[in-house]
Amino acid sequence: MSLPFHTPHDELIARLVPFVVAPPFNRLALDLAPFGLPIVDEHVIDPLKLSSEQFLTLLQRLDGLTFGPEGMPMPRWVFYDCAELPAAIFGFALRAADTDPRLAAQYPVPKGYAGLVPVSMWAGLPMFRPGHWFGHNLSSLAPVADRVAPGMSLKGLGSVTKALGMKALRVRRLYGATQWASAALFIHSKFGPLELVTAYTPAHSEAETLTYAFDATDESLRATLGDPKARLARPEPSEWIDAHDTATLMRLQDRIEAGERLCIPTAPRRDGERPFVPVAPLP
Amino acid sequence: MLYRYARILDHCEPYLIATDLIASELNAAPLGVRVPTENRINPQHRRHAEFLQQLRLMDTLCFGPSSLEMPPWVFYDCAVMPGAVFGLGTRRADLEPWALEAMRVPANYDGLVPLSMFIAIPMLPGHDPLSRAPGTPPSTWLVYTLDSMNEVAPGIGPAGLLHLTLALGLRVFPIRTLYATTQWRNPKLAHYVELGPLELATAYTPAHTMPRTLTFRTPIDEERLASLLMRPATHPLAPPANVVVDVDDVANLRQIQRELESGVRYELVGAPEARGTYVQAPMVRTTAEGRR
Repeated sequence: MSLPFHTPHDELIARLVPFVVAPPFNRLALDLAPFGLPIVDEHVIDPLKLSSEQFLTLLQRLDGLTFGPEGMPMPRWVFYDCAELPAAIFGFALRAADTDPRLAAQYPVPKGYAGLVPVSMWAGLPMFRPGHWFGHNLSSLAPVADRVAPGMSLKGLGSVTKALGMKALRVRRLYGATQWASAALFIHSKFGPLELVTAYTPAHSEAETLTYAFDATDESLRATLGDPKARLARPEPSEWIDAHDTATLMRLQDRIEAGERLCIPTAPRRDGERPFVPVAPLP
Repeated sequence: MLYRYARILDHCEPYLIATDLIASELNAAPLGVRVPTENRINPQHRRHAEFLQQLRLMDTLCFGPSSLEMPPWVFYDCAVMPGAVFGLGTRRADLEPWALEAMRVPANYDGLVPLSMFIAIPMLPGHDPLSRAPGTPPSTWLVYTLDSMNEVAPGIGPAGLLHLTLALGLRVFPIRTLYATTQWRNPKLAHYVELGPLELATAYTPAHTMPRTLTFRTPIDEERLASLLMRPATHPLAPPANVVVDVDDVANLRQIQRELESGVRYELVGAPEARGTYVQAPMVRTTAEGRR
């Protein structure tokens, strides 16, 4: 299976199986062939069914492998109440028989299991306005694969999953939250300039969290997937923010609360161990 | 309809936590109970951090013992960004010293102390969401948190707090179809069932932390909302049960779940009742050929 346009991730997409987790009453709201990539019926997992238990357990383990080290794993009830039941999850999997034993051992995949082993997922929740979503989980096994199975690269899996997941869930404007120092900001900024909704967020587990938003177009999704024909306009940065400088983040937040509109125009850069994030004014 | 709840309204104030993305779309005066401007909380503004911390403590006290406590990032990402939170609270002067201690209210905190909360988020509709007419609100909502401090510390707030929070919360949001999840043994189920028959989407839910969780849906209209407040002895919309289910019998719950998956319809038509150690839920079971 492949996309109708060329990307550097074609080989990766070809060897993985796309899946969706959604109850039957949410299916009609989804695009089950995002950019023409078909998600077959068998791989649309119904979270209300007893038979889905094992796959959903592996999905939760994938989240644990991704966010456990950051101290923000998703409790099982949150998976159900805040993703599987009200909305949907999109991701990629390997068939159990095709899964490298070194990767399988990380979950661990039970002996005799013959279903899909999820290696990535993107989950979000619909917001009040049609087509507006809040993305709250992007998990990828790529960093684990690099560590335990170096020959088996899953490079680019996070970006591919998020872009195709947004297409499958028919996202038109996406909101998200991430930490200023998070490597995930490199992925999020691929979609284009990120409008800053908050710069310092005490309501979150980590106050040094930013909330971003951007309009999702086919152009921005294709650009993220690596389609060389897709190009996005980005303003020049006017300042670079030290991701660990809390006082500056609080001042940025004050400016936003006062009505100033700012964005993150491009990917962060690293100066040694310290990440610096570009900021630019929005008209 | 609110005369029965006068004591609550004398001692408590409503609050609403909503971002600018949704606040103007919600009803900030359900049944005429107006949320004061100072109790309209923008969770993205720094000045509300103390109130949110107090709410976090309440969630810990209510859900911690069941291991269903909400991490703060979930509160932000999965409650106040997609949806909103409504609740009732009081001032420290209205709380007895033991209550202040139980709720760990800091000595220097003089803001509103939340005593109940109701969280609702929009669900995907059963059609292409982009086909919804502009300006039409989402009609299907999920309530995954409903609680009051009275449930863990009886007497900390006026009686009826949970019930009134549910009744007002359902009017804050433009809900036409309500989905909710709760545990079979949770006394809150008795409040929901006063809306009318609850159709089960799941009876046993391994996808949840606590598999003995049910998922249900019910239409919301004026008749059901009025019934919730008036609490008639016999619900006008509820048919008599034809099955009584032991809610702790996992094998039976799994059997009901299998039947649901094969197309049998189950409705909860009354509050589960404890008889000795057995908690029994009255249900109506309907097959494709009609009732059992």
